[in-house]
Amino acid sequence: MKIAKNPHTNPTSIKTRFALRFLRAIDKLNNNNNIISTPSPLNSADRRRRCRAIRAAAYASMAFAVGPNKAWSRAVLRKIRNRTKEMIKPRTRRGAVRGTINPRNELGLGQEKELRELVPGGEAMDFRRLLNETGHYIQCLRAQVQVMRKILHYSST
Amino acid sequence: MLRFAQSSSASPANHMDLSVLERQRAQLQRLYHHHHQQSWHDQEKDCFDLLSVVSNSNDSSRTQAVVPKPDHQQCNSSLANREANNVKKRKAEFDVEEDGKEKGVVAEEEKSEITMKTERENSSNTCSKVSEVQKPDYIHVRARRGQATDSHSLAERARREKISKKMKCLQDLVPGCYKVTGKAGMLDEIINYVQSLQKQVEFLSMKLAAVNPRLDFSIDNIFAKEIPAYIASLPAAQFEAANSTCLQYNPMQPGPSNCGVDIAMDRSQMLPPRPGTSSLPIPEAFLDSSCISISLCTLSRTNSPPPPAFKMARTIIILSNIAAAAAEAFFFVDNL
Repeated sequence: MKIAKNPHTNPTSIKTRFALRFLRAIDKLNNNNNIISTPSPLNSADRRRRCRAIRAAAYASMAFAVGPNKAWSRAVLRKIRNRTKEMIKPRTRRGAVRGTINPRNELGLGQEKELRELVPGGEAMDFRRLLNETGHYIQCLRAQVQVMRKILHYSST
Repeated sequence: MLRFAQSSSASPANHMDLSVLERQRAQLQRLYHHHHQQSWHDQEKDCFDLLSVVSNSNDSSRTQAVVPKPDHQQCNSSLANREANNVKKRKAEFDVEEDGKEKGVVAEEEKSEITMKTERENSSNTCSKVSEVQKPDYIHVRARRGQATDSHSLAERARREKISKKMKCLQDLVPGCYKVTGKAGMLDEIINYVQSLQKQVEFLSMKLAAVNPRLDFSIDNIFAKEIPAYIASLPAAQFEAANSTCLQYNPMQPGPSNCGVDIAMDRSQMLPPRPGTSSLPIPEAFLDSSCISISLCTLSRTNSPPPPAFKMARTIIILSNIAAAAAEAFFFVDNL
């Protein structure tokens, strides 16, 4: 079992890496907006688009910060690369591999299916691995929320 | 039992199974070369190897077809009669009983337990709560009273215990999960928690989208802030306290704050504050801000080369131009 380093004293922790990438992404988005459009997009469509772009940038930078070690981050990175490639040359999309849902785990409420939909890349995993990935995904989501909150606090004061 | 052993040795197994048997035998010989019970019959070894093959192959179903079923059932009944809760007790039985037949049965039962232990050794367990390890190379799978000890149910039981271990680990991660017992309730809690975290990310990104065009997101501005003042003002980073800080932000921005308030209120109702759970220690707030300042410092001063693992990611970022990046994020989000 890996000994967990203290993420606050470790300069290469996931939080630091995520923060770096996320800030870079936001900078790029800001520069893009300043170059192309008016400095203050007041209409709701622009704001919504910007919000979605920032959210996507957050997930992408978290996946990049985690690296290809985990199945869910690999799934997110794969999605990003497929989107990028599809923009350059349109390609037919392959269907996702559906893992068999074990009837012993299925409690009749569709929870396992719901969990597979929530965690990226969760369709093609067995239940035990799905639980592993969920644990790591929860940790990374929590770190992401904390960093974003801090950035928001810094930029608003 | 002997009939089963004889049938196993009589039937010439396939080359595939022989190789599996040899592998198993080699593995177990490595583990138990110090064991003093070397005087076993070869037949018992064959029988035991077949059992271990069956019990070890959780995922592959091909070896399960090898074991002849009616003989296996006979083995079952003899094993079921010999169930004991303690390994030592079984060893005492082993010493006392002179009959070769019963010796074989007891040894078999013990060995079927030990194969589960080796299987557990092979599978890595990342959870910290391994309370079943009594010796460095022994993890017991207890066969309780009235439970079958055939290899199928042993494998099934080991699998179930692994899953329940993972669920316990997840229980530590998810706040407020200590009340709920049972798999269904815990899965519900986990799903709710993941959904709430994702909604928080969305909410924060909306806030960031509203804030950023108003402010020039310059690094010097952020550097100029007083960090100790920030520490004093920011409450301890607990889950429920974070909700209150969200609520504090809202009066400052009249624009998108209406829906923001609703989301914050919903979230605070979903997760009422619990004084017992604390996710982070208090000095973490200071260290987090210093971490942010360090990261901003590196951003401004040097173009620090990213580690080679992210080189590909970086080239992806560089290659796609900025308009494409924004649009790609749009596509990505639509299919998230």
